[in-house]
Amino acid sequence: MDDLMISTKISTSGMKAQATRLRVVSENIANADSVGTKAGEDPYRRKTMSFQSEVDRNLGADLVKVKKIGVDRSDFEKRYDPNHPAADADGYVKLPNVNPLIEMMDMKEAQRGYEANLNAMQVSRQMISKTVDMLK
Amino acid sequence: MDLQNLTFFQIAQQRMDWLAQRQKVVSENLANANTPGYVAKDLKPVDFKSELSRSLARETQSIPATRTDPKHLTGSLPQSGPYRVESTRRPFEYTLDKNGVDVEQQMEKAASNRSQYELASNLVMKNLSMIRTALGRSGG
Repeated sequence: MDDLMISTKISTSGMKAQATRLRVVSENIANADSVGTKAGEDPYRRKTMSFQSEVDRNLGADLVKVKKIGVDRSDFEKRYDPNHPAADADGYVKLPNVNPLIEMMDMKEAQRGYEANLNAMQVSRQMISKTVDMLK
Repeated sequence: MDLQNLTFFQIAQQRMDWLAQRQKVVSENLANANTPGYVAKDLKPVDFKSELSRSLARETQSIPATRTDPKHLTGSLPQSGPYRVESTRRPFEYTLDKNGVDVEQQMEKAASNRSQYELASNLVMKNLSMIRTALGRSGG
């Protein structure tokens, strides 16, 4: 039964990691239109994140954790809008490098990953309760 | 009467141990379903030959290190279960970041773990009730 307890902990780490991913996606979507306020200022830069598996020596299992929340270094798109406060000398405004399609896909994948972990946890818990039921 | 001396309970216990350890491995795989470079793992299936040699070896060896001083530590590493974990040699597919976990496959493994575990635990309960019947109490 010890293994089952550990497996619920592993699933928890997976759920945490996917939740962090969803947080990053939310930040990106929320800031999809956040441009600068001063002339020529950079807009919001998209955040990225990646996972890393990590051996937990106490549990003797591969947990997952968020490796690093980085930034997307790709170029900003520009829009011609001379009246905008963030427009540069040529009248162009830099737009955030957030692509809503990519964010939506990331969000779906995080959701699926979360569900998979939740399912594994439910199965482990059912196995634990089945063991406890043997006391009856 | 020690129930562990009855072969049937030993078998059921081993089966449940194996399934519990496998459930742990499946959880690891699912938790790492998006980790770059991670390849799914599974327990080595138990086969008769290796089990026989293992149980024969268990009777002859397994001498623990002697602690000659009360300050000696027993060691803090958790015992990984008795069954061997091996990584999948040829995963069904790799993602672009070299992740080789097939979520559907892992789900199927988790579901079969659950049903086999239920089978084993139900068999144990059934046998217990048969023993109770033999003892002359209302076994159910």
